[in-house]
Amino acid sequence: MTLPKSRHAVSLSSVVVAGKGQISSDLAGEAVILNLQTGMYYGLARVGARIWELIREPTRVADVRDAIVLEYDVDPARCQHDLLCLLEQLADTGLIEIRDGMAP
Amino acid sequence: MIRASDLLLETLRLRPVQSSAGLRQAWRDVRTDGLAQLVAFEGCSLWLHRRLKELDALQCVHAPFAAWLRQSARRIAAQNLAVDAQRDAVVGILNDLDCAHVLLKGAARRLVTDLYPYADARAVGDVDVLVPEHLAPAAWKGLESAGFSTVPGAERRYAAHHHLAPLSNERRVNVEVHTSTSTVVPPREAWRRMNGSGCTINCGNGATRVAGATELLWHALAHALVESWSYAFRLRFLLDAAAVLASDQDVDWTAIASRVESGELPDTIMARRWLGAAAGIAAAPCPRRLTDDVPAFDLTSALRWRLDVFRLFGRGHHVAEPGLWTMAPLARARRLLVDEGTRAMLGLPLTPPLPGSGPLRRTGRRAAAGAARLCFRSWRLIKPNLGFGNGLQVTWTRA
Repeated sequence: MTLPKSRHAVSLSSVVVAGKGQISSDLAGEAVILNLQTGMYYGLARVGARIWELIREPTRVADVRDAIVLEYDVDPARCQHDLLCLLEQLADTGLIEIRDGMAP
Repeated sequence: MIRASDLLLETLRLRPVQSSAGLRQAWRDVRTDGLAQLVAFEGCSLWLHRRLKELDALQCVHAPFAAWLRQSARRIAAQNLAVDAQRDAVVGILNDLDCAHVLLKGAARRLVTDLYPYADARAVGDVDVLVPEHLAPAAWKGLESAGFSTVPGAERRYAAHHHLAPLSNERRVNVEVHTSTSTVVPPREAWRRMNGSGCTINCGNGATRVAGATELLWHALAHALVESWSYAFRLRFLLDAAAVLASDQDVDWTAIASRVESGELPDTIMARRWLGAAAGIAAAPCPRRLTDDVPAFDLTSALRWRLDVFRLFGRGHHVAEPGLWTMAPLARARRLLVDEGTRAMLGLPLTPPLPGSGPLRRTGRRAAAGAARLCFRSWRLIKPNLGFGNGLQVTWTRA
């Protein structure tokens, strides 16, 4: 299945942070995020939940990737691809803000 | 094959008799048809999901049921987040008004998970907040000024109630401003109990208060028992008390025993049976003076009956079908069967007809309740090994 093209471009140099219009909680190791504007909710499994935890504060995408590669047994290229896809989806749903090129 | 309802109860218990490995194997073996309906009916999705994850057993569960449970837990967790956001907004408004308040029920429990680790493992539907009686009108007006309005049609139903008519706003999470915790507790006494115990906690919009263990336990009991007998013995209410009992917070059992005997609750024996059942889930001791001569409500048998009802009417579905609570004939029949089973186990008469209904409806209601009771009694006869003894002794039988 081909995912629709994201409206947001995220790169390794981007700085991302969880948006203000959401609220989230831990669900036995997963993360549940509620978009307060739309009322839509999203679930993130274990690794996604860890990424969400990392971007609660402004963080460079490359740093997120490095942390995940360090913590999980994953190929760095695969991790980078999946991470960028996830962040673009989160940006499309209004759950994160992207600050290009800014220092965290 | 292990009975799914027995396995459910054993898994929910915070200190199960069975080992984690034994539970994982049991979840691999168990038939899960009808179980989703039972879990949804009992309101224990979030608690079960967390227990299965803790036991590392969720991956052992039959895939369709596991998928349903994950989805159900996420939906409820999201709903709880919406309640959290509304709670924070209400706390901010009340603090701006300089209105003293104590959060009640689920909205309160979600703030004290460091003290009661399972206190948030339950669906929360609204924000309940207790204020001193003389401040209630100002709190109400303040909320109205902040964009809340009365839920349509609610004004008349809540005249002379222990909380004002529910308010809501664009978040669609109701807010109830309480002047007491129950219709039989004077407002001044309710405020003394709830505000006089517990602690001040900071939530998103400032300081608020949550009552202590004794009052959280008592409110869980009182709230359950004044709803209705049939509802009170659903797991969702018992879990509220179990979360408190399983914690290391001290409960003033002298106060609880005194209130149980005081007539504040509609029935002393029911209260003791309820406490015994909750203590069974928490695997926590309940004082002997409260439970010794009264058997705890037998949850094992009750859940077996309820699961059989859901299997009978569930057409073998593995996941919860919509309409568990609708007024459709099938849904009503299921609820009546479940309720009559509970009432029979409690030694209560048939479900009374609705107040104000005409002679025909009253007769029909009595006949339906009688038929449901007959079904339950027949089931007891044909199902072996169903004692109605002490529910603290969770059985581990094979069907």
